[in-house]
Amino acid sequence: MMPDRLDITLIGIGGIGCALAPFLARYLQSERQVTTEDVRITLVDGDDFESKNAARQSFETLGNKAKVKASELARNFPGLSLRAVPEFVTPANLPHLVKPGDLVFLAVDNHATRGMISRHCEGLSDVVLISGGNDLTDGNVQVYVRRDGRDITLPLTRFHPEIADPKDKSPAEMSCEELAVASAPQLLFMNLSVASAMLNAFYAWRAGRLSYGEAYVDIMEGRVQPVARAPRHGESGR
Amino acid sequence: MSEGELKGLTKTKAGEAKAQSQVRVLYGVHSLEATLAGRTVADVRQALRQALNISPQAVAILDGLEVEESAILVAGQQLEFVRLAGEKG
Repeated sequence: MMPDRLDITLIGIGGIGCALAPFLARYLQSERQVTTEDVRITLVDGDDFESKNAARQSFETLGNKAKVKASELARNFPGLSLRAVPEFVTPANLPHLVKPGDLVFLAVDNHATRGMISRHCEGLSDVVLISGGNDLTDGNVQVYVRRDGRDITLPLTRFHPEIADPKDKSPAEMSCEELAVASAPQLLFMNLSVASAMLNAFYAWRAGRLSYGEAYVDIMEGRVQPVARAPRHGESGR
Repeated sequence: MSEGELKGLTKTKAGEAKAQSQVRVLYGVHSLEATLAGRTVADVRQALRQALNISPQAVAILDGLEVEESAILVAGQQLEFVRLAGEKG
């Protein structure tokens, strides 16, 4: 049975976040017509939308991504409660952004933030963390579920040393010069595929039928491969 | 038993023997089954490294548990080289 209140936080409103947000909102608004569930969506991003991002990201105006997108969604989906947090995630604000019982969509562009948020979630009693990332034509989705203080699936850092010990920095740690450096090229269709895979995982979790902890997506191969990521006997499953 | 039936039976037995020594290997969206029982994880990584472009950083997990490169595969197991997570978004 789903809780009467669902707090959803979408962290990162870039290529994946922009693709995910309107479909998530549309689904949740339509669901409200058949449930009494109170849904609150919080969008988190410290970055500003600039016209150079327009190839993969859709915003109606220039400005902070979280604020602009929250405003758009509130206008289009009046049945939902939306708020914006125009900040990058840091160790200081993380406990206020991700709380016990939350469902988090993580659509950031760096492993440092993924690692930080996953470790934070390891200390929460109940949480669902759905993280997506991509390279040019492939990517993955990881689903970390904790219930009653135990891991149901594995944290993002498990089996992923690139997240556990990241070589990159979170945007909050980067200088203006570092932020200005052009990042690796991305493809809108890949962002869309990962966003779709994240929403599929969300739906499976809501239906009580989530059977995997990670899914790989490759648009050139035309394949999706789900993989179980459950704690095994002898692992902490803390 | 006719010759045809004998051939069919032999083929089935051979197929069963092969299946009994097979290991499933995963890397990202790729999966394959091959006769790998008795081989080490390092053997498989080396054999498939180029074909699947397996990262040297990819952690090896056998039936869900992280293993050393020297681990020996047993028929029916699943070996996964965990593809690095996508970084961008």
